Amino acid sequence: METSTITQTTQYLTFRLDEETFAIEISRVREVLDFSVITKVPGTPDFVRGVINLRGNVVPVVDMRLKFGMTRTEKTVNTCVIIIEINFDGEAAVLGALADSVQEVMDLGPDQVEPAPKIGMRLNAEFIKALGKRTGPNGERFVIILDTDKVFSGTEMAMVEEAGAISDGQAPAQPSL
Amino acid sequence: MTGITYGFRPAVLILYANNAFLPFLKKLKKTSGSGSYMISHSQMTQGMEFAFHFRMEEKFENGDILREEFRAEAAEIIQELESSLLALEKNPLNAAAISSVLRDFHTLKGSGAMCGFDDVSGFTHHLESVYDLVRSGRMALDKAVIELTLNACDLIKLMITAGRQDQEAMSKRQAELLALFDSLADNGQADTQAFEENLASGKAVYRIRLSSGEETALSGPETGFLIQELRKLGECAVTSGDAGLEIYIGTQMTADDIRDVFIISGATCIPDIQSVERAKGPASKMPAPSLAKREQASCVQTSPENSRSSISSIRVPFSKLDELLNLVSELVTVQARLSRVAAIKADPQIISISEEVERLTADLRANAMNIRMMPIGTIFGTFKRLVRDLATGLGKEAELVAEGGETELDKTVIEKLNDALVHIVRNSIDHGVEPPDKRELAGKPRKGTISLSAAHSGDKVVIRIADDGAGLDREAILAKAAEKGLIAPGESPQEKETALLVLTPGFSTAKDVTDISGRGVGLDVVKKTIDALGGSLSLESSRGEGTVIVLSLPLTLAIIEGLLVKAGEGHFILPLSDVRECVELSAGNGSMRAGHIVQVRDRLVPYVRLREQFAIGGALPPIEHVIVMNVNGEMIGIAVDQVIGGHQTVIKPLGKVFKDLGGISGATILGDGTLALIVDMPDIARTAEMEEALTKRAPGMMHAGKFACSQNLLH
Repeated sequence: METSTITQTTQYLTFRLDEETFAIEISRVREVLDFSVITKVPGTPDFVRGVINLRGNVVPVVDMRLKFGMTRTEKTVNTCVIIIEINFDGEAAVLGALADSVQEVMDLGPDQVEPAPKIGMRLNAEFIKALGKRTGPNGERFVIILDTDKVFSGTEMAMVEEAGAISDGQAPAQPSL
Repeated sequence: MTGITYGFRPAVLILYANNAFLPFLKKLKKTSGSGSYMISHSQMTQGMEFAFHFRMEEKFENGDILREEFRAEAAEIIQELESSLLALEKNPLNAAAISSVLRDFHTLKGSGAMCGFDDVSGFTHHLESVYDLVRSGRMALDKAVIELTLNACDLIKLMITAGRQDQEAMSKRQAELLALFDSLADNGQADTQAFEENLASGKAVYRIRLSSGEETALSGPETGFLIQELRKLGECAVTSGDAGLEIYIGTQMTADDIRDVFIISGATCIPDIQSVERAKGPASKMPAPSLAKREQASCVQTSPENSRSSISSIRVPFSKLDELLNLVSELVTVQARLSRVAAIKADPQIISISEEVERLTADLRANAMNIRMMPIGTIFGTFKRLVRDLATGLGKEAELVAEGGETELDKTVIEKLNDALVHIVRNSIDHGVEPPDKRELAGKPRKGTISLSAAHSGDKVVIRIADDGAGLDREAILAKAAEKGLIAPGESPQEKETALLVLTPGFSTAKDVTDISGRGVGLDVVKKTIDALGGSLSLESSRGEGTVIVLSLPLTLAIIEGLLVKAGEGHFILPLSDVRECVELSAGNGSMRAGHIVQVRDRLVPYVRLREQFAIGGALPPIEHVIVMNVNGEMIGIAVDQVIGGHQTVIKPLGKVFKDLGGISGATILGDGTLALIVDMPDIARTAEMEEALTKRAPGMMHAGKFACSQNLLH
């Protein structure tokens, strides 16, 4: 989605990963859960932490810190799982994303949103929908508005399988190549 | 009053019914939403009767529940109709089948009109008249008529499912078919008239009685052929009844000539050929429907109807059953939690309640499952038609023999299985069964047989599809496999492995099929479907004798009995139905642990270690447990840290994100609310086998292309 399509005030849920603040459109967020027991699924890359039981449904949980090249999320009192709805290869899917802490719900008008710079960002520019700007008590702050469909797209998750094939015990066969 | 009589008017449906139909009428009202009904009642001798003047609003016209119900009902009726027609094709004298066809058309006509399918109703009305002619013996039932009727069935199916935009094409097709029927019916009548004329013109008249028993040993098509041949001799009139077929023939030929026709037609026993005295007059010679015969026919007609009404059943949308099963699944999960809490609390009162709940839940679960069960025969029926059509289209002769149609399977399994079976049966006819001449040369009957059988075996259903065709061409397959780099050139795998080669995706393109005399057309797709259903597929074939494909499927998809085990920190479920036994593996016999072979009494069983397969780190416990499982007929063990016990496993899909993940077929919720993964043992065995094959093979032999192929096999 282009930044220019953001023409009206939208509500975002902000959360922190490491030192940075990120935002997801509130319409995509289904709920926020406490960090609970996650069952690791073998054959998946590290950033897929595993699956949880969400009232009888199996929901995968992704460690966004690992996904964005930070260190692994450690469990603290503030750690939570944001349950978001994504469009996965044209179908609706539900996914959990680990966040260090959830901050607040905030409104951002069109004038508070800027296109993301192509360079100079820590994470893949594709994942960033826009930058939100906000004046707080400590001066102007930026929040990174994520494009959830891109972050958790089919191709991104396809890396799940490839990476999985190498890590789940087939590696010994590889050196002979 | 035993039914609903109705007058059909554009806007008002009048139903005359007694109290028993009140629920139905309530439903009607609900269906029409804004519809209203007026009840007027009158005292009748048979008790209270109501006349409902039912206003049908617009909504009633546009595909609502009633129409949906008619669609479901009609699909069943048409299937029944087709099986009756195929029975008639074998034996056109089968009066019960004729009656059944008539009855089915009648039902379609009635319900069609009631549910707003006027076109269906009108069309079936014509068909009904045709079969009425057949029943009364005024029209011969030959292959052409049956073929036409089957086409008509297809059209009805279309008419029921298609939208309004196709109406024009359909009414055109309708007119075409009806014209064809008319021409056939005219022939019959022309015959009769000509026959009368012949009586006058002084030809000899013979009466031939063909009984429907085995005496003449003529099949349906042969009878048709025979009648055609007889017609060449002179004018024929054919009447059919339950006693058999009576042919009147007016000809200048002698009785011997007629006998010759029978010999040519391949009849093993020549029937009685009697000369009929002209003096007796047409009345006795044309014993068209006598009263006695009519009565007989109506007897046959009513008895199945009686038996039908004695089965009391209701039609329930499948979504409701899904909902029920979901609730039961939740209940099973909650019950597991309750049992756990009860065990921790160790309060005898709670334990006794928990046990009671456990028992009830198990019963409820079994019941809910049972409701979803359908006899597999419901799809076998459609295969008779498929085999017939395919074989005719390819100029081959083939027959389907179905067995064990009463075997029950979960409806979801049946639905998914259908496509796989169609694929296999198609393959069997296309590539397995040889053309009739070739078969004769090979000393086989001209007609190929495809047998489809289903049977229970433990908590699995085994479906066997066998043909007596040419079998797999081993050399061609090996050549192809070598070309594709699946095997090393000159390598000669075992028979069983050869058969497995056709299941690899590389064998599925159309070009390959012609190259290797077929087989393997999308068999990998079939294999995938069966794997997805948690079943297994095995294939056996011997050159010249045919191919046997055996599918083994779980009864249901939703809940299985599982064995809960632990490896590292993770919990895993193994399908209990495949578990044969558990043995301990202690650190004492270290060499055995390294070699991945464990001795179970007098046999050696290979095993894989779950920790290694799933890359679970950490130190091995001092004592491991090897669970010996039956994987596609082979005993393979899987080593885990700890065996916890049986677990009622409600299978939850892992979802789209993990769609191609190997080694795991789903997840389940444990008593404490956490998840355990369900181990896909066949997949693990396959991966382990491939790995071993790769590590054993000399590195020099591995060129890049082969490795790419092997990689494909792994996924």
